Amino acid sequence: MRKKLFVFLLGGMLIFSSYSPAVMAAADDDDDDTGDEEENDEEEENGGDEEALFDVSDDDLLAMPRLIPDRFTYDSGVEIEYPEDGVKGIFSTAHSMGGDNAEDLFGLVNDTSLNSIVVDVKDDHGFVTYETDSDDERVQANTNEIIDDMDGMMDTFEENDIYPIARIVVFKDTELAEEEPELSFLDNGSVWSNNSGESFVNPFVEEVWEYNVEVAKEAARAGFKEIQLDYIRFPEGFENRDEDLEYSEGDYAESGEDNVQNRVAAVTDFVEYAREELRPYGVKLSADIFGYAATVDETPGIGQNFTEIAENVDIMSSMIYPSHWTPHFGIDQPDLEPYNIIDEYSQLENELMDDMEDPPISRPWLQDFTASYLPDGDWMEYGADEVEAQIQALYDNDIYEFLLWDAANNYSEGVDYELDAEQDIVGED
Amino acid sequence: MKKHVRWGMIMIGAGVLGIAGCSESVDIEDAITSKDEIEDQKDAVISNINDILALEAGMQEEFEEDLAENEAELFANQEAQVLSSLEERQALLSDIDDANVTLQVENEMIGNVVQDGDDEALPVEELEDLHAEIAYLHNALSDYIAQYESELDTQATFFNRLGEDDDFEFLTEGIEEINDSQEDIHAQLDNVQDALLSAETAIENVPDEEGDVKDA
Repeated sequence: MRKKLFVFLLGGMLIFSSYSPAVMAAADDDDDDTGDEEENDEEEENGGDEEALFDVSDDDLLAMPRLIPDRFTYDSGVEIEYPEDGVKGIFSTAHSMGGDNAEDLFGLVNDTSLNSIVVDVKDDHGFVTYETDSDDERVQANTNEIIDDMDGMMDTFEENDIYPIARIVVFKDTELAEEEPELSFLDNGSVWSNNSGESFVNPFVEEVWEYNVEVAKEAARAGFKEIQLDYIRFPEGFENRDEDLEYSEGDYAESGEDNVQNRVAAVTDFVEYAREELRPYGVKLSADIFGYAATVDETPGIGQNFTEIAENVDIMSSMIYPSHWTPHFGIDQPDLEPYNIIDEYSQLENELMDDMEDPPISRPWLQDFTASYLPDGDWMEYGADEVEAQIQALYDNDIYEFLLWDAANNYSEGVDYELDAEQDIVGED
Repeated sequence: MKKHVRWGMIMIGAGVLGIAGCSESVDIEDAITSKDEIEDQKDAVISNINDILALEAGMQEEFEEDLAENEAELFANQEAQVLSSLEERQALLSDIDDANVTLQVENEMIGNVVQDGDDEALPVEELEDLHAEIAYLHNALSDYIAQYESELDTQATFFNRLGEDDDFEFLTEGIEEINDSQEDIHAQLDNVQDALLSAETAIENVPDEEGDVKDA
């Protein structure tokens, strides 16, 4: 009632206000119309969006911090500290660790200044090498129990204060490729394999990432202190067959980048993903990459970029075996010059690391095997002297960590791993 | 303390209403005064919420720095940076709560003006619209404040327990719980924003002076 009265009175006010000339009123109306149009135009220019009063972030309020205090990280119950003098280790297959050779390898480490063993947790065929507690069907399906007493093995590591590193062969995975061809690369409908009969799974597929990281988490739960990612790459020479093979590029298909960039992005993103997923476990993350990856901006086929991978790991382990180099750094027969080739590489890597804001630890793989498969004249027998020459080259370049590779796990006797080097102690970060 | 302020505001508001009720008439000046006050409080609410959001944006860095100290005592002794952020956000939330009380008081005044005012120049329709929008804003803010206070309690409990509990699951689940709650708060904030924008429009539609009334 009262409202109607006010409306009536206001109506009267409007009538009184009609003293103003009609033309003026019309002009006012026009102005109003124009003003409305301008407002509408502005709204359209702004995409018609409502004004945002608040700058609300889409990010989570909190995320797991990059550095998680030890008191919060997963406690596997295995107490082994990072070696104060830096990691100096050897590689062991699962068969060695699960068999009679384990005692010899532990003995070698105990009797020398070596302090670490890298153990195959997911091997070169793609088998998970021990029974895990994982609920993941792929993990269960692809387990081939070679190490039958993981707890006992970890006890031995702990009792002898030997730093355990879990090697996970990631994208070279014949087992998974054959089990699930859609995760691999197909050649005329069949799973593609290289000249050695090895197949790879596709780094563009995130299911493959998740599977490998699940294996890594299991290794952390078992007590390994470091996860080492090997074969984080596409097959060698992929740049020559990427247009012929059938495979998904996943989300990378729409990136707008070329094939090389997409491959680099996929490999780098996987490493970053692994780092994030493993952070709560308090394990260190290391990456094995080709030595030559440090010599080029980007490897065209395999998708490795030294710096981008290095930014996402704690340790970089370049595989710089003298026998694996083609003529490089002006050295025509690298296998014959173990000191020189390692020295040259180390200088190059140091430059790359120096340019990084927060570089990882350098811990190259060195050669403790004889590359008799090279053409005669290009190789020589490797023993203590040749291993020491490589180590000396590292020390001379202020690199005090290394791993020794021999696929047969038969390491040279009598090697002086310390070489009286004045070593910077590599502290825990 | 906050409750005292709130009751103080209500008493003052009640006094204003009492005086208004005693007066012979409430008129457009009362309405304009209330509208101006509402506009001031609305601006204060926007500013305070943006300050809260800015503090939230800095939380991760503070959290990481606190944890990097790796000292449980930092949290147990209430010295962690994130706990300061909690206090600052609590203070801002109290300011928003005070503003919300004032909004309600002034809105009641407007309701009174609409109901009892006998000034012919009263823009009743606009004032009724403003009254409805401010009531909506008040409710939206009340929900937001209640939700945020609950969240601050959750965060305080979490950060304090970081001084006692070093369980990995506790850390991850605590972070997850806080992030989930934050999604609910953002949903409430969307409502607040809608209400504020509607209130702004309603405020603009109410003429500033008697002479502005209904001349178009």
